Amino acid sequence: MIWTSIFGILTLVLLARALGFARTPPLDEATARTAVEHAMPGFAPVKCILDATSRTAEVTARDGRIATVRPHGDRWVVR
Amino acid sequence: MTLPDPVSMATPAFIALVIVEMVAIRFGARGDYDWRDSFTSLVMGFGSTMAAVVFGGTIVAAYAATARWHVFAIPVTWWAGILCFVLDDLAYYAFHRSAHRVRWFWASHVIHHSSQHYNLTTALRQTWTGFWSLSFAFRLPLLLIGFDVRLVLFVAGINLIYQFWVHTEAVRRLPAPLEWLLNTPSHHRVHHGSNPRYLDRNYGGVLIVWDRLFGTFEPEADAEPVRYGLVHNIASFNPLVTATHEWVAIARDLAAARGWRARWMAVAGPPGWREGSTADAIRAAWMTRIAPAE
Repeated sequence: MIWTSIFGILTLVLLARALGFARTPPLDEATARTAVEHAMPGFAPVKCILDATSRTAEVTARDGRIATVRPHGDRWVVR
Repeated sequence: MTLPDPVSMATPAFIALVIVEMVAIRFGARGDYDWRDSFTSLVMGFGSTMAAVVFGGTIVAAYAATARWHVFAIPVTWWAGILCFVLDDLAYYAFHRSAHRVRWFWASHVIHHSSQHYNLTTALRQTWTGFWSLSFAFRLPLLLIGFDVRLVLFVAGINLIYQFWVHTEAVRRLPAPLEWLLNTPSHHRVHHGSNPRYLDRNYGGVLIVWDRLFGTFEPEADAEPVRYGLVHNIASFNPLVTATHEWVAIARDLAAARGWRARWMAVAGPPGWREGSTADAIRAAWMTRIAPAE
């Protein structure tokens, strides 16, 4: 049963890759600002700096708080 | 009378439906997948079945011990099955609401909400630590009433199977009478939303009428797409991190807590209590900022 389950997991994961569900989209300013606004209610972005590879961003709020946006699969996480 | 294990019987169908949904989305159906996210979800589902093997015997023994205190002696019949199914769904509502409002229970349930995707593999993203969160205890009243242990386990399996198919974006809405009565893909998408409008809503398992009855129902608004996941999403696909991150956070908050009230709230308060970002606080702030403009 264990090996059947592992085989099933690998099959589905490889099928997802084969079907193209393996994107790593570039980050832009608008996406970074929106991600921060959604993750941190009340955060009012005034400045956004993208890194050279457009993979991460640092967003500054009006009140001085700083949030970073980085990729997580084909989505983003904010800290 | 022997009752089958419905979840084992349904597992091949789960896998087949994941494949159907993946291919359908690839060819234009609504929804999305990410292979890394699906890997985590599927491994969490696998680990959950392993946890059931480890702790299942203890849970059944607890159920059998509780059943000795039954008030009625209810036979295993079709009408008892229907009654047990409905009451089990009410017990599920109570469990599910508690799982979002009490951090000890949330520490296990958060796993199911930790994906930023919403597809059939999300349904399989289940906890490994439900035993420690005492989730099985919410079904004890059914045994005290007098339902047979086998019947309770059987209807619990049916309830779990039903909830699989609602984890999809491919189905928009069912006919209105079914949307009124049942937990549907539309209603459950709302439940997985981190938008302030959608936080901590639609706890129903099979029947959505419990939410309508107890004031926790929120319809899906076409003008406000659901943002799936947590308010503060985790930044790892590692199944071990996924399984334990909230337990680690509880331990960290307990260590930092000053006084017994802070310790109690770190364990039994609502998620986000220490940071002031409970679902109620987020919704209240949103109502102040946004709702008056609507």
